[in-house]
Amino acid sequence: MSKLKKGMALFISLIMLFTLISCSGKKDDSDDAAKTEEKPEELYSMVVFSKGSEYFNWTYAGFVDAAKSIGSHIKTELVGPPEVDAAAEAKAMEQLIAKDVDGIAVTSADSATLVSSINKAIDDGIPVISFDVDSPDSKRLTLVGTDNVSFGEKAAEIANELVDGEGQVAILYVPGNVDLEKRLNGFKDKCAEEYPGVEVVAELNHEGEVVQAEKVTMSLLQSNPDIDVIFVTEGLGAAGVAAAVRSLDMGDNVDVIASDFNTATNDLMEAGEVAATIVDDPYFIGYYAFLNLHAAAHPTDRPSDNPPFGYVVSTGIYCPISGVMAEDLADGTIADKYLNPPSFD
Amino acid sequence: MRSKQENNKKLFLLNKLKSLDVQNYVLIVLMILLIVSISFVNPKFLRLRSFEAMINNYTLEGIMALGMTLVIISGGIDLSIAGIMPFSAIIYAYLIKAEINIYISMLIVLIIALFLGFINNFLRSLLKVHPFVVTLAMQLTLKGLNLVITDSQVITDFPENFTKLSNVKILGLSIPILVLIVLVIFYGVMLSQNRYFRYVYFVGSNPRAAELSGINTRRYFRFIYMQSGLLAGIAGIIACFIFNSAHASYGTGIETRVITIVAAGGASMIRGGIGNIRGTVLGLIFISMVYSSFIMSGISTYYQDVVTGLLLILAVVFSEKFREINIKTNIFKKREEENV
Amino acid sequence: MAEILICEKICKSFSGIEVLHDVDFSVKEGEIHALVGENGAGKSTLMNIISGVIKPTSGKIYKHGKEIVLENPLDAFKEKIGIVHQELSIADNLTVAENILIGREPINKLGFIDRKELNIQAEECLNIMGISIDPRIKAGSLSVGLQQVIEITKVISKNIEILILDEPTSSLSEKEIQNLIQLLKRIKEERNLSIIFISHKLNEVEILADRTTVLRDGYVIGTLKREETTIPKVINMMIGRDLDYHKSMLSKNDFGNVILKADRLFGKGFSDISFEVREKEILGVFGLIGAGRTEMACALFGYDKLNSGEIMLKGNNLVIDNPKKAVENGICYVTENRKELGLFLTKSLKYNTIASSFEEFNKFLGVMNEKKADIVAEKYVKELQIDPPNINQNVFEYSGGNQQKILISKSLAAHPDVLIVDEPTRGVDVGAKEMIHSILRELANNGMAIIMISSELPELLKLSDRVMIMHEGIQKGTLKNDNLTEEDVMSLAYAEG
Repeated sequence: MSKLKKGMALFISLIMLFTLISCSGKKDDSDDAAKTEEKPEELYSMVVFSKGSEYFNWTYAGFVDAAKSIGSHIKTELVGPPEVDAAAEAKAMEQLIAKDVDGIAVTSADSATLVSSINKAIDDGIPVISFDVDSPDSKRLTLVGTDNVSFGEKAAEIANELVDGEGQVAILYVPGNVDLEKRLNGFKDKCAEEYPGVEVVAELNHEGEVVQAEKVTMSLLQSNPDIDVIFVTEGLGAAGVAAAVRSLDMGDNVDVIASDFNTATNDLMEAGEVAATIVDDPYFIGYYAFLNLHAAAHPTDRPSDNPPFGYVVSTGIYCPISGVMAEDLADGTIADKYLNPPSFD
Repeated sequence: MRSKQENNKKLFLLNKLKSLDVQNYVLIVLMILLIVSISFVNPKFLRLRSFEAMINNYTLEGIMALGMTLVIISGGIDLSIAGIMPFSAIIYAYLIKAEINIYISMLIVLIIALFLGFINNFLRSLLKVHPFVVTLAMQLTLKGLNLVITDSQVITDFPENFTKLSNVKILGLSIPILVLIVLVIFYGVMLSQNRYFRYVYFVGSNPRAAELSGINTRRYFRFIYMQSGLLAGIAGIIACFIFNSAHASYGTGIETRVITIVAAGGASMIRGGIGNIRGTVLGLIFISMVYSSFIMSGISTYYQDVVTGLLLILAVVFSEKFREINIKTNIFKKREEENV
Repeated sequence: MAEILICEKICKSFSGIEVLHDVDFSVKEGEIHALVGENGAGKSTLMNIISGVIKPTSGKIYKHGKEIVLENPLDAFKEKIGIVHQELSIADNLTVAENILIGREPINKLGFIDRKELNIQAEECLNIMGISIDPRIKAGSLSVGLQQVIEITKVISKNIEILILDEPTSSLSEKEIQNLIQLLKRIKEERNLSIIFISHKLNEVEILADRTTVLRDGYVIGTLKREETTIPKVINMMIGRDLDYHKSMLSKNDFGNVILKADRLFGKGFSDISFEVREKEILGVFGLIGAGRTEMACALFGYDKLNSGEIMLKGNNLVIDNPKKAVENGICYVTENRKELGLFLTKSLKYNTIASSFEEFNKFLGVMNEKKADIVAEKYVKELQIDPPNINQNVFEYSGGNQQKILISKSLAAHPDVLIVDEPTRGVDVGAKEMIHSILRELANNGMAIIMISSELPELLKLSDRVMIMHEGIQKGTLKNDNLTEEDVMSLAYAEG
């Protein structure tokens, strides 16, 4: 009896496995009828870390939509670990090379670990471009991402508006994180050039973390109550800063500028605890990452800068940066653009 | 007398056949099914290239699985490898960046790794707790330490003599693969031929009896955990070879994958004394093939762990069941003899 | 024949309690010396001392007239004393040859095992033992009997002079036992080996032993020469206790109706067992370790599987496939292994008392009715005179006797009609023993049917109205306790067939 049960269990799991495998292989075959015969199928892969996060789901949404605009013979896939794990991304790259995909867009959990697998793909004739987090030392063809200097400049612009040309600013960032350092410097340089009345009086390390951001802000505001604006250079810290301001009851004196737009930022802005946020555009990044990748995979007669690949914007493509003020939220378009991305699994 | 000898011969042949564990057969069958079904979906799966990718992807796991095989045969477990491996990679990266000779740096890292293995066993025997707890604590401590010393930043820009070495290929094989092959052969030969290595079967199946037979089990367990630490150290250095950089996240989930490989290879978690390198190698190929088949067939890797888990249970249930049946038939035989 | 080993005035205490008292024991060259005694008589302790596993509290050991000190088992091997423990130490995954020659494998220049030489040497060892097994096969594929032989081969091949066998036949079939006996006789002759043979099986002792030493309660009762050794005599020496102390506690009742009737029960470790037990009756079940009595009880209680047979409870046919069902139907089992299978040591007395009857204390959504539990626990503390009478004290803080009472109260709280008690007084001191006996009798007088399993004959004869005798899984018979003597029971237990 028990032997029978075990046999059944075995049989069922085997069936499960193989149906899973064979079903998925034919996942996209339903719309094949419309496929034009002369165009062979092409497959482009997007490699991410933190797979399933809002941000990368928006980038992949852009990637998919751009692929659709080329034609139904273009297939895409999203691979990568759910953790921040560059080694696991390298594993995925290795397999994609073996699978001989037509192009790879990759964002690196750290800038160095993926260098050798990116180079390997390029050497194998597979076009690779970076998006979002760059891997500048690799042979990747280009980067589609965010210009962090203008990101900082945008923040400076808004800070200037908020304080009416005269005020003290504190900036929270993570030393050693190149992107955040760029945002910090962009802010400072812009102020030095254009807004002499806006003065950066503190640059603090909040370790990219809510709790640490709260602690840092607490001690900052206690020692220096004259601060007018706090700019948090990444997406998570704003909640901690807002909490510190709230508990010191200094909401009327201090304006918080956040980065990125997520559910937490949305709530804080609606509550009036965050005055503005600076946003880049993941959908744009995904969309243009695909278009570049497709171009790289289809060289034309005109000589390109990266033979044997097609022409790409080798200087990089940067997405627009915009400042969102609390009053912009009213009509809901911002929320539609940045919250609740389509999900992929 | 004659018939007895013939009988012995038969028994011997039967044993030879049985020596390839049931679980190994199960794995081979599953692998064939996997290969057939995946290559049906994506014919590129059959290229040499994809096999190479499989091995490339599981070099680190493969190296550590060898040490884990011994640990598991001895009836223990070593979770600390997920901490020791990235720790070694980071220390090695710092050493070579400090312009210390790359070979001397290796030696230093390996000594540290051995020492960490020593500490594992020391705490295990001192506190008399299950190695699960001690090695888990070691893993957490080192993972934390890795973040502290690197500030979660990647260490890169290795000196040129190292990057040159990391690009060396012998017979078309990269250094990581060569190291894996050499270690597999070494462990395979030692565990089947070397007397000291083979004691692990005694220690694992009956530590008290092993002690009474003149094996210093205290020293032996020290050896077991130290060699596991050493292999994690080697894997750490190899990680630097593969990535040309070092990062605290390198060990993420690696202990689970290593244990899965060893368990899939037929080493028994339920009682010690069972397992071998051949099984572990099969387990390695199997697990990396499962991973590869996901990307090859384009199924979301979210399902990967689900399927790996199911397959593992399947393989284990199968082999434990068969072992039981084996034992039962032996008893049965005994009863039959009696009745004759 | 010269005496090869002499033990002089060996004493051993465990945490202040002396378990061996001035034991004198000697072995001659080339003799098989049997060591017999009831459970707890001190046989294993003595053998552990001789094989260096434990050290004596006082006393001396001489070998060839020279004093030796054994600090650990390796010392004993150096003195050419080898022991084969009751539990086998075979590594299943290694070959027969490796198992025999562990620690002494021939190696080549590279430090690898020289398999050719290894197999040749192992073959030689096996030849000496007169058995033909291929040394290359895995030990795990052999039957238990052959594994036992491998184990003996392993020990003997170390050129030992004294071989200690601790119950070597306990897990062997009848045929394997006969083979082993032949083997031991032969190697004794061929190698002039001295063998110390511990056994519960007196017929084996009678066949094999040149001399037999009987231990009881840590004392040497006497040593018999071969021609003096008869089973009744040995039994007499083994159990010759002070009979006054065993004042009979037999029932004066008329028994009531049959409550439990078992018909031709077969299961793992026992076969063809039939019995019935009535209200107000205590049915004793006698058997030594390995007789299958605990296995039978576990099957009755639904803890183990019953292969075939019928159980009738109050005339109704009943299938008991799990302990819960047994308890629901009024059958409770008090285990012999109270620490591992009986009690929750780190929980309070109260919790333990109600552990078998939790559902009665459910108030609402699984919340325990503490008050009711208190009342029930207090009741049993009073009835069974548990000391100290603190229902919130953790069980591990109680003495063995009181733990046993708590264990019984756990079963009683489930209101059983049939109570199966397995070795109810094991590890319990004399005073508590008396008290447990009277509690059991009292319970029976109040209408309960009790099945009492024990390997202590005096206890059985004192309490049981009838005694069922089991031996090696077989029911040897049931005797009415009408001035039954221990000799009656023992001779039935060891009767042929």
